[in-house]
Amino acid sequence: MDQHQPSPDMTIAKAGMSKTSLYVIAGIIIVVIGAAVYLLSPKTPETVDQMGTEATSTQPVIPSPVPTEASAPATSTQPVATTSTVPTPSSTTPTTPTAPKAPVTPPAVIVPPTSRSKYKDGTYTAEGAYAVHAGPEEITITVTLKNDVIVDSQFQAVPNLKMSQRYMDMFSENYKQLVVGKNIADVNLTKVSGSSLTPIGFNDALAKIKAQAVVSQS
Amino acid sequence: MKAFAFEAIGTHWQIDLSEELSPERGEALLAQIHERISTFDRDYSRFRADSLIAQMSKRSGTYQLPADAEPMLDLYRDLYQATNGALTPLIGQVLVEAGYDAEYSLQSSVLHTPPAWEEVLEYKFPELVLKKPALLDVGAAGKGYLIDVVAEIIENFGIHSFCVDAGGDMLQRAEKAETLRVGLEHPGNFDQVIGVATITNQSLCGSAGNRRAWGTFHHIINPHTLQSPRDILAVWTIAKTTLLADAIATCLFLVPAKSLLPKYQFEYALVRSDYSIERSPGFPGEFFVA
Repeated sequence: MDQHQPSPDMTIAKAGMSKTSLYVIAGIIIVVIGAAVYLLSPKTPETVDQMGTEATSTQPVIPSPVPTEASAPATSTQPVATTSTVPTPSSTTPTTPTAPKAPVTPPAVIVPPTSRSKYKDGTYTAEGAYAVHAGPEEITITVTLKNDVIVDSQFQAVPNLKMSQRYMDMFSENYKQLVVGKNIADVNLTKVSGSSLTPIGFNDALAKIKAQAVVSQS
Repeated sequence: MKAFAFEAIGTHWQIDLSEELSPERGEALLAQIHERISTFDRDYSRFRADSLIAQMSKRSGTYQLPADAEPMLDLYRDLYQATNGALTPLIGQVLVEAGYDAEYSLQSSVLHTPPAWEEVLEYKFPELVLKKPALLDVGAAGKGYLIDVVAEIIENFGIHSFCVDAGGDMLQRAEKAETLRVGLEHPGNFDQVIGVATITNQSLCGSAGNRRAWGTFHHIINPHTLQSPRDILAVWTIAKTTLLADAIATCLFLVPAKSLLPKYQFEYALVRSDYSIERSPGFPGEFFVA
């Protein structure tokens, strides 16, 4: 499988947003994702943590590509917990993958991985700090990697400055997330809501016109 | 008796109570509910020849509306303005032309842009003047409203924790603030859900174009384009009343949510045709992503 440069799938609002702030935020995203990616290493993994925790590393971060412990083939059979924005998912696939914690301090230098290394499936969280003219800001990025691809990324920000809320909202609004289905039997729920269940009369009418369509095609 | 299930107004109802009722009380409550639904259907159904709606479709004139019409028609009037006519009770004739008629013929003929509200209607409760005969359809909000009405009957009966679910539109009351977990049906696969919403003492409505669908149409038609929206697959709304949640759910197929917020208070989530999710920040629930 080809090496992918993990990059979030984002569309960033341009209208009305200061280009500088836009690039700053985008830059921080790239930087913290690089930091998260760097953290993939063969040391003892810890439990996946949705929300980032305080930094323990103080070294400048220069990622080098590292193969995963298992040296698994491209189509990994590792079970992956698909987590969502809410901290407590209603159902989980068999086991939770493990991942190291990410640092808070933004790395000084990021070198994109060049060799065909595998990234360990899992969810990683990193916090990045940046400064706007009026003061410091912080954002949290969570990315989920599966088969070397970022399959989900979340952006969370609690702005220090009122002004920043608007830019963060614009960014957040344009973050696209694609939904997938889970079997009803596997999810803890009491009710299901979708389009209204239709009366027999309607379903009969539908069946009839479909049957007519088949006949007229033959 | 603690749970009631039955068919009415073209869908499946499930009412669950927190307390067990004796057979006598249970029968009494059910009878009240059935009677109320029956009255509502006789007044507002587009599908029966003896309804008030049917009369209005044949004869112009001044009609005295039933007492319960006020909240529903008030909302229709307001949303007609707020959506620039995209939500209109005059959509009835368009639905019939598309094939969604009283016989479910599902054969479409030529569609015509419906008239503007002012051309046909003068509304000042309790009177509705039909300047010309017109087939009105209140399906965008009627079921939600009826759910609210039924919930009031249950409350008046002395039961304060219950759930009224009519085909996936529902209202929950919980004295002890218990939450109800509602799966959000995958628009393309009825065996699956794409997320779970949690509600407490709220109403939730779901809408999608995947059941009442025929040819190029489904049950929501945009009066400006005379087509059924294809860019949105499913919508869910949460509001204080099922009347509002239901009406807004239809609106969100036709206009952007931001044009209705913050004038109306609701949370929403919608799935687009590329399966991307759009949600209000306060929508209580989780979505299953990638």
